[in-house]
Amino acid sequence: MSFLLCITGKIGTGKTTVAYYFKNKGFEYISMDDIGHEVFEKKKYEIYNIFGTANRKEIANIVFNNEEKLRILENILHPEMKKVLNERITKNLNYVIEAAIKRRLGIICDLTITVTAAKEIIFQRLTSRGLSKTEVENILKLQNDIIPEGIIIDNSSSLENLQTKLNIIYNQMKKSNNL
Amino acid sequence: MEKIIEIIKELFKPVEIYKSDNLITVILNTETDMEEKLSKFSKQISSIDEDLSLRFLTIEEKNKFDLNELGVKIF
Repeated sequence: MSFLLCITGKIGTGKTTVAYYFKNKGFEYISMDDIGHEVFEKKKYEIYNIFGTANRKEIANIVFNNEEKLRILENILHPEMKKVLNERITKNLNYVIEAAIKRRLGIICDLTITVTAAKEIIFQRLTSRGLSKTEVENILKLQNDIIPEGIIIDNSSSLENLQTKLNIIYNQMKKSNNL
Repeated sequence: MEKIIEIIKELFKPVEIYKSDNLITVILNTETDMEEKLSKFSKQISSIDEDLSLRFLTIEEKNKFDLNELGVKIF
């Protein structure tokens, strides 16, 4: 039987760091962002016909400022993304799936970890990656439906603290899920 | 929920507890022996049917949050 561990949370909380912890423990890593990019490439013509561009940056600008257009894009991408995900989970392995919009995609997991961080920290992380404060605010607004579920782990402080918390969770998981 | 809050108080000796929707944020002085405490906690709440999410923060971590991000202080 496959074991699906989902890592969710808002932008800038540190989902990838958490997912990579489990990848380093032998889990097969799947990024829904990466699958999203692949599907975007596949659906480029359809996207171009609707949005007048298939440039990812331009599309991001459009949808992160317009919720209705975001839903249109999601309706194009999400069904195919779920299909690709199901095709990837074929072996009896432990998988870690990084999916900010897990709930919107309707992914069913054996265990979910939600990563949180203080807003101030999220802004610090994302502005240092080149996003403006307004862009971060717009993205966070569109992620209002990402609400904590499963195990909640906060990543507002140091990497060492995060590692300690993850060790506790992993040890518990090993005991209760026979990983 | 009251029962769970009581168990949290007894096991973790929190300094503060906040509630926001279904998320309970527990502020701790220290996170030592957390594995043992969490193990006891999961056993004690296994029979309670409550849809709650829990987050544990140290005081240092809590200070990075705006208070309105944590919700209403219930302890």
